[in-house]
Amino acid sequence: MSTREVTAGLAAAVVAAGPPPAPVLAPPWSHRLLSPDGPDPELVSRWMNEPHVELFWDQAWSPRRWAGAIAEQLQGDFSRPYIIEYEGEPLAYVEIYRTPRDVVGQVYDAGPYDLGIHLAIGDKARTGRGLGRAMVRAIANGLTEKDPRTRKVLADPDERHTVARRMFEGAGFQFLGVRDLGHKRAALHIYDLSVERGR
Amino acid sequence: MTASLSLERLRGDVAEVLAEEPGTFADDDNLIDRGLDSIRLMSLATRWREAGFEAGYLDLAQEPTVKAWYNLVTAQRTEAQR
Repeated sequence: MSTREVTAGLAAAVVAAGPPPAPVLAPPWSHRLLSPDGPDPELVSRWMNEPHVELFWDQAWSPRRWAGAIAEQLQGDFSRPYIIEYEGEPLAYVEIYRTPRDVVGQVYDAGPYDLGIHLAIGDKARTGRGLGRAMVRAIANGLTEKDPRTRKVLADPDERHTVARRMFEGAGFQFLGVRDLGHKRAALHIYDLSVERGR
Repeated sequence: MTASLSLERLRGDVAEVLAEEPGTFADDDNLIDRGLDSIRLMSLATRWREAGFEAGYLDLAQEPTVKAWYNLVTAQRTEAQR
């Protein structure tokens, strides 16, 4: 089980909300739910071992261990692992999770349908140039489109990770504040549908 | 130790990872807004560590400008000469 997952004392509404939905994405964006079988764990493992990813994820695991981590997510209601594709090619590993089932849900006013994003851009050739911003905005919009009850999408980059923070801010995630999550000091950035609607 | 890391060299290396010409960005421009991402930042940290500059990714990320980075280099050089 993820060390971030909270299982005790969940509100009935949080349990009833079930697992995170898949985002609705339009070209050039698409997504694929990962499978523990086949080539997916190999790809995720390779990306997670990249120095720029390892620094903040600290999950530079073997493909075998990643296969286990993917299977575990698919079995629970906490999070779902995706590959996000740009023009049909894998760009990033993304976990969509229910914030009220996560430690982060204890440090802000989390609604039962709120979602969080963790991501790692693995394709070295196509980063920068605003692609990350466009991707997280597409995912946030795609999640609220899929389930209108989702009002907020949260990002919680490391306080020191200025690159990620700038990316989320540029994508329309408002800075809420810094919170101590135990394993890291996180800068909370929230994409609030009630604010973003009409864009 | 960091003798090879002149201001010119920093500008040149940044220009190279951004695939820009030197001079298209100012020393106090926030480089994240100029296309610097975590992969490029990591490659600069690695490259400069090889030149003796003991700054990691997080040190560089704190204030991502050529000016701030050059201040770090000179501070380290002063420290080494003591």
